[in-house]
Amino acid sequence: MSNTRYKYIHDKIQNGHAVYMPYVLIGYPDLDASIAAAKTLIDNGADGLEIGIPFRDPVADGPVIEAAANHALDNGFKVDQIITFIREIRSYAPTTPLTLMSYYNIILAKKPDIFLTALANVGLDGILIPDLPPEHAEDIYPLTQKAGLEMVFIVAPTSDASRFAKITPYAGGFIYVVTKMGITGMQDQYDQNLAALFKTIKAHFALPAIAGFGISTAQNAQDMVKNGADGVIIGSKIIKLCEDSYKEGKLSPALLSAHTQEIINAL
Amino acid sequence: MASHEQINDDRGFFGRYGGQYSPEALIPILEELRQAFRKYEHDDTFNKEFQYIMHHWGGRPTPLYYAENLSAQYGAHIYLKREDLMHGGAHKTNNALGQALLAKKMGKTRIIAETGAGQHGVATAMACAKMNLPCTVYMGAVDVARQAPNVERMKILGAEVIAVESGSATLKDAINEALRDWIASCETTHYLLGTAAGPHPFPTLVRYFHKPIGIEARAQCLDMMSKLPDMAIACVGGGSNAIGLFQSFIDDKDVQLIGAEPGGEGLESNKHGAVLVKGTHAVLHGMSSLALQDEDGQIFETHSISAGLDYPLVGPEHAYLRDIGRAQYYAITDAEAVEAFYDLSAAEGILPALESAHALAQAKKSAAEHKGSHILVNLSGRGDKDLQHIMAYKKEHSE
Repeated sequence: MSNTRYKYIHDKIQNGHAVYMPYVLIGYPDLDASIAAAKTLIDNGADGLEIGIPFRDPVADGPVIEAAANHALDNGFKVDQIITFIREIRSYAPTTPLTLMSYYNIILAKKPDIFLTALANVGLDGILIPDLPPEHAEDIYPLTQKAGLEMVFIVAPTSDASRFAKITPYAGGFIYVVTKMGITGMQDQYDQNLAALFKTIKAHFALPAIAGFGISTAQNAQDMVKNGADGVIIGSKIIKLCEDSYKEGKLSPALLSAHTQEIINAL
Repeated sequence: MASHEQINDDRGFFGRYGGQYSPEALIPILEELRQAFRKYEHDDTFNKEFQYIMHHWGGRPTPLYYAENLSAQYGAHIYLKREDLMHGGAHKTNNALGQALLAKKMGKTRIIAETGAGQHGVATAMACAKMNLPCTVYMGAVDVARQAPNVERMKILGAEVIAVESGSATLKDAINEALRDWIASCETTHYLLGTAAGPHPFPTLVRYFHKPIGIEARAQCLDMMSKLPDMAIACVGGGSNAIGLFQSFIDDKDVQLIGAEPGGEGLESNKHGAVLVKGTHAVLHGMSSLALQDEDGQIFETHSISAGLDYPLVGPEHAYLRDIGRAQYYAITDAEAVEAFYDLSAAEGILPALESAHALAQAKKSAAEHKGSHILVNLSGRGDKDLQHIMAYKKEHSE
């Protein structure tokens, strides 16, 4: 933790502030617009970014992100464009922690050692692979360490102490806490034992516990922090805002700016 | 038996294939299922109940039939394992009933399933009616439109059919949607997966319920041929009927195991589903396996005249059997499958499913290369469901 960009969110949390790490899908609505969206989020105070890659079979994502991913792919998105995206955002925001969420098959297809090194070289900080549970983390953990990338893991309401123990040896950056059983999306029903879940997670891991899945409003974000979250990730709502802000090939920043400020003020 | 089984260390690997590449939220429920399966597979009461139902309700054992006329025509001795005579008209009933029974033992009160052409959905709806379990079947909206009779069957049998509109609105989208349901409902719900694929323990569990195919066929071969067959041939989409057949012959090194994959319009056309012939290493749908994919790891849509073989991945054990050379897999084109469909219908008065017609077409090729050999073919399903597709194909290719 000490030498990575995640130290920034760690320190902020230590000082009593919650963090906001919105999700951006690369290539949606197009590559330039997604870069513009990321910059807008950063300009308005996002503490970090979670970056998604369009994938045809996103089993851990909901219909909004799936539809956006298909749109990006139909428009010709190629995985190599991620290098351009991260290089650009990194030079724009030298200290902001950037976490890539990628399905495992994309990494496999791009040859893990080459792909992970290339991502680290342009300034990526960590990688979250939703379909790579800790049982299989050894498949690529050594390569992430060699490249200098943290592996970020998901904890769900069903994860018990035995799951935590499996995750611990590999976990870096932060813990992505799934706050409801289901998939990413904008439903606002949370697991009832949320406070207990965050308490257990924070007792076990020395990493920030960031809430994701099913969060879209400032009220949702506040509820999460009240229940013990160190910060929130919002995804599907950002996709919707990008869609609404995209006119004639240009992304206008007003909606995303207002949203980011609203969430940050609520935290 | 041991040599092959031992490689599976119960993390669900067959060599490099298999495993449990699933989101964290699913891992505990997969573990619950693994433990239940490991308990009940050795439970005499469970197995007797399964066998009783499969006999009296399902019609097992199915016969082995020496296809004399077809043998004369093909130039080799063709024996058909008549899974088409099972209740429901295909082998899929084995797995559907087996898993429904297991779910009941686990205290689950609801079943969900995915279906492509609707065969697995119908089998699941049948099994759930019999086991008195409510059942929801996810089916791509495109398939719902294409397979109206099967949708009606499922509804009559008491299932709720949900048309999935996302993505390409076909089988893989139905799987994605069923998984989403399961993550949210796993405490009460069992996901009755339709083929020997997906995360561990599914490939092993589905194989278990289809094992009777191979066990019966092996004994019937010894009885009727006084020896083992030279070849055992089955069609492979996800690979469940093939793995059920192959299982009992794995250690019989002299029995060549052959899988027939959907070659669609030909391997050069890119309109096919020959994953074991043309696929590359991939991780999707909870498993390490092979898939038809592009250089970015995006999975292709496949093509086959047979909807039941239209799947861009394959069960992990087949990938393993291919790699170690224990089984060979070949592509059969739409045209070859249709020809075999007509061959069997005319020669024996049996309409095979288009899926099974792929295995027959492979038998025809193998017979031509090995005149007089003894060939066991798994006739995995009946063909009445395919008449519409055959007619459409004929019409399209008559001009």
